[in-house]
Amino acid sequence: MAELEITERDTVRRCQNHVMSSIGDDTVLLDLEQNDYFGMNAVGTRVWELLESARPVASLCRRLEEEFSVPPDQCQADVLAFLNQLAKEGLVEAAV
Amino acid sequence: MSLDTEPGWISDLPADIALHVRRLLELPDFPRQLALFSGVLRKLRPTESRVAGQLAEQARRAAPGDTAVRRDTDWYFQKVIPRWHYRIINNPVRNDCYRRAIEQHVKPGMIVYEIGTGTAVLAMLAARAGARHVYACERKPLLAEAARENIARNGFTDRITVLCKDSQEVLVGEDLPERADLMVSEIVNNGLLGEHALDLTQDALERILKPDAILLPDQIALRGTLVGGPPWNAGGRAAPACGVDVSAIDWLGPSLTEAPSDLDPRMADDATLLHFDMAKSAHYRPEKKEISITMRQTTAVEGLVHWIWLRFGPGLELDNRPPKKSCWSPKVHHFSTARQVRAGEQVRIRVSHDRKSVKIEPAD
Repeated sequence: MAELEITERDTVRRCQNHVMSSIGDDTVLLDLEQNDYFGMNAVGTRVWELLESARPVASLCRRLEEEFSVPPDQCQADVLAFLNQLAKEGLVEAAV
Repeated sequence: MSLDTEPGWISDLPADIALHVRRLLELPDFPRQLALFSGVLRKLRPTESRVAGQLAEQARRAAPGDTAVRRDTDWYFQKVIPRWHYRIINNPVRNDCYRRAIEQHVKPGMIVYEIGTGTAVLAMLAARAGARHVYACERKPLLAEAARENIARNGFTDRITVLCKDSQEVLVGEDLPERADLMVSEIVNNGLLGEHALDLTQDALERILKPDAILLPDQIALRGTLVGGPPWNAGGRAAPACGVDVSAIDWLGPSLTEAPSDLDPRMADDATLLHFDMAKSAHYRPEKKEISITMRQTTAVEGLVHWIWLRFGPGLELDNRPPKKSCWSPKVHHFSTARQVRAGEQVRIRVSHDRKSVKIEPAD
C-alpha cells in the first residue's frame, strides 16, 4: 500500500528510532529501523531542529521563510519535498 | 554498555565523532554500528579517513567473528591489507620453494634478517631451520601484530623479533645487535620491481647485512613471450561477438591486464626481459634496451605476456610462467595494433625500467 504523502495541512513529528549527531557542519541521522545513515545540510538540520516537537507544516514553513528569506511558495515546495523524503526514510511521520 | 566502561580510544577521537560513537556505544549492536559509521564517515569527511579507518579497526577488534562487521569494514582492510597477502600465503608452490631455500641455506647460529614478513611464515621457517635469531621487518602495524601472534602461537617468541618499521629505518645496534648472515625476502610483485626490491636490498646490503651475506632470492628476473589471438585477447581487444563486429571499442582498451588463467603461449621463444643479481643491486641504473624474440609460428602478434623468475642459489628456481598456477598473475601488455609475423622472424621489444617499475612496448 502506498504511504500517504505529507501535505501542507499536516502536522509532522520525528519518528523515535534514530540517533542524530553533528559531524563538523553536517548532521547525520542513523535510522535504527533500516540501519542506514541519512545526511543533512544546514537547512535540513534546521528543519530537523524545529521538529523537536510535533509541528504543523504551515508553522514550519513560516519559520523557515523568515530565517532563510525565501518566497513562501518555494519554501513550501522545498519543505514538503524534504519532509516526504524524510518520511520515506522513516524519520518523520504525520501526527494523527 | 555504560560510559564508565568506555574504551580508551574513544576519547582520542575528534570531539564531534567521539560524541556520536558514544551514542552508538549505547546500542546493543555497537560493533556493527561502529563498522557502518566508519564507512559513512569516510565518505562524509574524506579529511578524516584516518579516523574512519581507526573506527573500522576497532569495530573488527570488537567483533572479529561478525560477518556484517567484516563486510562494512572491508573498505578499510582491503586497502591496508591487500588480498594478495592471502593469495601468497595460500600458494603451496611458493611456500615450498622458500622452505627448501631456507632449509638449504640457513645454518645453526645464523642471524637472519627478513624484509616484509607479513604472516611471519618465512621468519618461522628460518627459526625452525636453526637460525640463532630472526629479525623480521614489517612496516604495517596490523600485520606486525598478526606476525607476533603467529610467532607466539608457534612458540618462536624468544627467537624472532618483529620490527614494525620500514626496513630503511632499521638500525644495527638498536633494532638488531649485529649485522645479519642471511636475508630472506619476498619483495617482488607481478611487475618484479614494484615493491622496491632493488632499493631495499641495496640498503640492507649497505647497512644491515654482513659483506658475505646470503640473499634469498639471490637473482630475480622478468621473463616474457609474445601472444596473440584467443583466448588471451579478451582482456585488450573485443573479438567478434556472435558474428557481430564490435571492434570500435578497441581503442578504449587497457594496455596491461592480468593474463587469462588458460593462457599457454607457444607462438614464440621465451625471453629474459630484465635480470638482476641482487648482490649487485646498487649497480643497476635506470635503462632502456631492445631485445629480440624469435617467432615459432607464423601468426599475428598482439602483445607480450610477462612473468617473474626467482632463484635461490644454483638449482632452486621459482616462476609463474603461464599456464602455471601462482599467487603472482602473469601480465599481458597489449600492443595497440596487431602485426603478422612469420615463423623464424624476430620481433623487437623495447624494455625499460627505473628501478621501481618496468615499461614494455614494441620497438618497431
